[in-house]
Amino acid sequence: MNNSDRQGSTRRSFLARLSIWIGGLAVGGGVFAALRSLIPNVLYEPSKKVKIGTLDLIPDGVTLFKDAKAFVSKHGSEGKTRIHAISAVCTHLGCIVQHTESEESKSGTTDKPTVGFSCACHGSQFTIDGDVVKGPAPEPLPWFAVSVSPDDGQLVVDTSSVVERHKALLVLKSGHCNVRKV
Amino acid sequence: MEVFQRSRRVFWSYSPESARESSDSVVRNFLFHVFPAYVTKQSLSLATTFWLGTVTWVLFVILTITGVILMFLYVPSVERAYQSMKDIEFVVSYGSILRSMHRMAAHGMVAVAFLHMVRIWYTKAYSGPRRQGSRREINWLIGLVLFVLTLALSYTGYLLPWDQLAYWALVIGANVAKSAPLVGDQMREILIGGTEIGQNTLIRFYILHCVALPILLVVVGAYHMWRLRRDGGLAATDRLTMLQSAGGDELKPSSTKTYTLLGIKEGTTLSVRSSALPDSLLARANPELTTRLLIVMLLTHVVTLGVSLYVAAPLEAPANPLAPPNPAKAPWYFLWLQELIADTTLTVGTYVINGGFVGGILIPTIALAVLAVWPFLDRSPDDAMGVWFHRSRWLQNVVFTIGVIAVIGLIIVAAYLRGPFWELYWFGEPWPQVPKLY
Repeated sequence: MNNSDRQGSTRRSFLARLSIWIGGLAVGGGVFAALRSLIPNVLYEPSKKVKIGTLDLIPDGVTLFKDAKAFVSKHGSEGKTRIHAISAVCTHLGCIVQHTESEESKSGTTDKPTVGFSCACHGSQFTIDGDVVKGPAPEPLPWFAVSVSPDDGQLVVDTSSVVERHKALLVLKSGHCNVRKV
Repeated sequence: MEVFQRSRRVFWSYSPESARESSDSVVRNFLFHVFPAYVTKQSLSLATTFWLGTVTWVLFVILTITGVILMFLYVPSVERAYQSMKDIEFVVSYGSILRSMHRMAAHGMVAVAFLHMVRIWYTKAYSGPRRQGSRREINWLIGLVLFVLTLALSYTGYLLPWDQLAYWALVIGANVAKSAPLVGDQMREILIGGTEIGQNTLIRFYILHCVALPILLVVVGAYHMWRLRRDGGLAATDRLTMLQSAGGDELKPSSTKTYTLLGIKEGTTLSVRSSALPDSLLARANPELTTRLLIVMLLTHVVTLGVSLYVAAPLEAPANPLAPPNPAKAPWYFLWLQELIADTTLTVGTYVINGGFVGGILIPTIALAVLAVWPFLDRSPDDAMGVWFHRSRWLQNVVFTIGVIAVIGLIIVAAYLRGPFWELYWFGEPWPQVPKLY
C-alpha cells in the first residue's frame, strides 16, 4: 500500500486522472463531431463543366455565359473559327467583371494594352486576354479549357480546368466535324 | 384605488417609503442586484460617460425584441428570403417600421459602441490604480471582443434579405476569408458551406445572426458589466478615491467577500473603497441611478423610433449572381475596409499579396492588436484616469485621433468619392452613365 516513492499512483489519483482523460476525450470528440458535421460531404452544386451550345449558336465577339461565369470569345478569319473562354470572376475578391472593351481596341487600331474587362467592386481592370491593367487584382483572369461534347456537338467550358494561356484555343474549320486543338 | 394597490402588489411587492428603504431595494430586489447601493455623483454626470455604454445595451435590447418579431416573418430560404422581405416591407402591418427600427438600431449600436470606445480612450478609463490591483485592462479587451461581435452581428444581419447588397457582401466576405494563407480555402468552405454561395450559406449566417452571436454577445457582455462592478465602477470613481487618499484621508477598505466568476473571494474590493467616500460625493443608486437609466432607455427608444419613421431600411434588387451593383458599396461601417481592400494589393518580388488579405485581414488584425496591448503599455500617470484629454496623454490622444480620422477619411472617400468601377470622382462631379446589365 506504500507507493510514496512514485507520486500520483494511488487508486484515487489514478481514477482522477482517468476521469480527466475520459472527460477530455468526450468534450474533444463532441467538439470535433460538431465542427466536422458542418463541413459538407456532398455538394449539391451545378456541374463545373457547362455546355454553352453548338458553334452556330455562339455569337461572334465576346459573350458572357451565365452558367459558366465565363466570357467566350469567338472570332473567325480565313475560314477558321477561334474560340476561347476566360473566367468572368475577378481574381481579387470574386465579383463578376464586365466586358468594357472600347471600340478602338476592338478594331485593333491601338497597340497599347487597353481595357477589356472591368470589375465594379474594387476597380480592377484586365486586358481582353485577362492580364491585369490596374487595380487590386493579384492575378490575370484564368483561361478555361474548351472542348466539343462528343454526344451532341455542343461546346463545353470546363471551369474546373484552368489551362495555359493561348493553348485553350479551339480552332474549328468551316466544316462541322473537322475539329482539332492547337 | 384599493384594487389598483392590490394588483400592483402582484408585480411589484416592494414600495419604499423612505430614502433608506429605497436604497435597500438594491439588495432586496432581484432586478436591482446589478447596481451597487451607492454610486458617486460624478458617475451620474452626463459628461462623464454620455451614457454611451448604456445606450449600446438599450439598442441591443431593441434589436433583440424587434429581431424576434422579424424571425416570425422571415423565411431563411434562398427562394423565399427576398419575397419575405418584400412582405415585411409592404404587406405586414407595421412591418416596415419594425424592420427599419431593427436596421437603425443596428447602425446606432455600431456607432455608439465605437463612441463608447473613444470615450474610454480619451478619459483613460481602461486602467485603474495599479497599486490597488485594478484590472480594468481586461475589461477593455472584453470591450474589443464585444465590438467585433457587434460588427459580426451587423454583417450577418444585412446578408439575410438576400438582395444585391447581401449577395455581393457574401461573395467578397467569403473571398476575403479565402485570401488568408494556408487555411483560406478551408475557412471559406466552412463559412459558406460548400464552394458556391447558396442555401447552405444563408442558413449558416441565419443561425449565426439569430442564435450563436447574440448568445455570445449576452454572455460576454454580462461579464463586461460584472467586471465593471468588480473594478469599482467608472474610472471617475477611481479618481475620486485617489484624490481623497491624496488629501490625507486614507480610505481604509473594509475586509469583505466578493464574488469571482465561480466562487467567493475574500479580500477587499474597490467598490468598498468608493463607498467609504464622504456622503457629499455619493448618491443612492436607487432612485438616482435607476431613474436616469429609465430616462436613457426612453430617449434611446424615442430616437430610434423617430428615425425609423422617416428613414426606411434599404432593400436593393434581388440577388443577381451575375451582376454586382456598379459601384457596389458596403454599409458605412465597412466602407473603410472596402477602401483598404481595393488599395492594398502588394507586390513583393514575384509574389503578389491579395488586397483582400492585407486590407481585409492583416490591417484590421494589427489595429485590433495595437488597441488590445495599448493599455498594458500605457505609462501615463494615474492622474490622467477619469479625466477628459489629460495633458500627460496628449501624444497618445493625438495618435488615437489620427487613427480615428484615417478610418473616417477612408469611409468618406469610399462613400462619396468612389463612382462606377470604383473610380475616383470629386464631390459633385457627375458620374458617367454605365450600361444597365440584365
